Amino acid sequence: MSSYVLFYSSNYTIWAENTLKDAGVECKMVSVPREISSDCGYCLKISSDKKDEIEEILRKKHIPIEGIVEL
Amino acid sequence: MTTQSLESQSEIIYFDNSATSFPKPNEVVEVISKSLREFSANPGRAGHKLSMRAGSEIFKTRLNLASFFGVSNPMAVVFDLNATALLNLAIKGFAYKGLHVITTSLEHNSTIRPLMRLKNDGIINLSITSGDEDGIVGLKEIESLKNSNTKLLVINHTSNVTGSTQPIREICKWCRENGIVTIVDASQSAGFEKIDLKEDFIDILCFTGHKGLYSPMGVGGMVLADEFDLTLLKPLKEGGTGSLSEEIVQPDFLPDIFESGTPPLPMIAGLNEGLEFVKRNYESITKKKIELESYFIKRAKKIEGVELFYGNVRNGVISFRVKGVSVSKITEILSEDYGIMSRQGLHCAPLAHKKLGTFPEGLVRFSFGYSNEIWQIDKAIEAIEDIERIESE
Ligand SMILES: Cc1ncc(COP(=O)(O)O)c(C=O)c1O
Repeated sequence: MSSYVLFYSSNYTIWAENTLKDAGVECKMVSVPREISSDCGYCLKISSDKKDEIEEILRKKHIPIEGIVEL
Repeated sequence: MTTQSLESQSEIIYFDNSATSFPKPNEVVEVISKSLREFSANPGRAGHKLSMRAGSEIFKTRLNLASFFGVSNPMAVVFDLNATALLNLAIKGFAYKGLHVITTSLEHNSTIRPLMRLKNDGIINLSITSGDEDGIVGLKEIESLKNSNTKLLVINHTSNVTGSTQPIREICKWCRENGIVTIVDASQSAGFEKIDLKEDFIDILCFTGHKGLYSPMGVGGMVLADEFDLTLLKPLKEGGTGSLSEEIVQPDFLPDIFESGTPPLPMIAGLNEGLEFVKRNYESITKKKIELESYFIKRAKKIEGVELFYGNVRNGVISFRVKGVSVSKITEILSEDYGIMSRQGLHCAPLAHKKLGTFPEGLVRFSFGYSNEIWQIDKAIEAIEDIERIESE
């Protein structure tokens, strides 16, 4: 299953992507699926079983998450 | 170090690096051209790959600058057109009715004019330090100007006229302890002086890219201290940020709160390369500037009728005048007859010239850069000797 991590701004999405890559956690920057939000930016697609680990890494870096949606 | 070499450049001696550094490093030119060819999509505004690539370039630059200036949050690096835009944001975005601001006699018009606007509109009260003979400010003077409404100090780190440099760590530390927010104008110092917001107790740092950081014109930055309370600073412009598009009010988080409109991606990529160039060559650039200025001082001191203004540190910035010859005449002869590019007049810093006693005539300024050589100083000395001799006859 895949999850989508949403951020308030693409500036944060990129920061998060960078941070996760540095931590060796796989993620992919994709445009926000229309089913989730009407926002025009991008979000991170992750594997759902990595959700907790990812939240923890981003929390430690003070990168705010808008939400995580499983599709 | 490689520089752009054009045919015509060989005849030009460029001593105007304080106005803007020239020539730019090859790496900077390359990345700008590469960005235009390969990835200058609108960053953060669309979900496609190229937009992400563009956004990543900007992020890389933020991260690089955050680490260079000693803050941990890359989002606390805000981009705009130049130092002037960001100084206006910092000063006007902070000001409120009844605020008392302290500033210095070495300010550039990019800080003193916004401050004077606020003062003349009846919003703030303003005190201007005199400092010592170079304009360098001591804590005693700041303390004597402070009152219960003093909550902001605006200080130019390095003078663009003489190169005089303020002891910002000592001053900002005192301000931090006394509840005064500091805005430091690092337009001339960034890339030469080591600046670390944490160690130097700076709250808001504003810099421009096109001088000591070797970017092209068109990008500058503001860096906020990690502990800075964002509610103290209002944005001056609002608009599209690519974030929270469903909202009709401006986002309240960094950097989006201050960055509306499409950013100059190629310039920002250029700034990142410029910063890399500085980091790689820091020792040699600073050493060279110091050497060139010291050598110029040593030789120019011996020319009768020449008066030098070089402040409290050697950093490649020096101004002078020649008795009996107008400064505009000197720059004209230097440019036309010797191919030497200098800048005359008040250098957008009337306060500094009043302090030096050189207002309103001004001075001729030489500002040296990494690509200048000793032989160019020798040539300038010969030129000044000629000017002095011919004009005094
Ligand atoms: C001390 C100082 N502050 C501010 C500026 C303004 O820089 P910019 O014109 O890039 O906004 C300059 C340069 O002209 C300067 O020398």
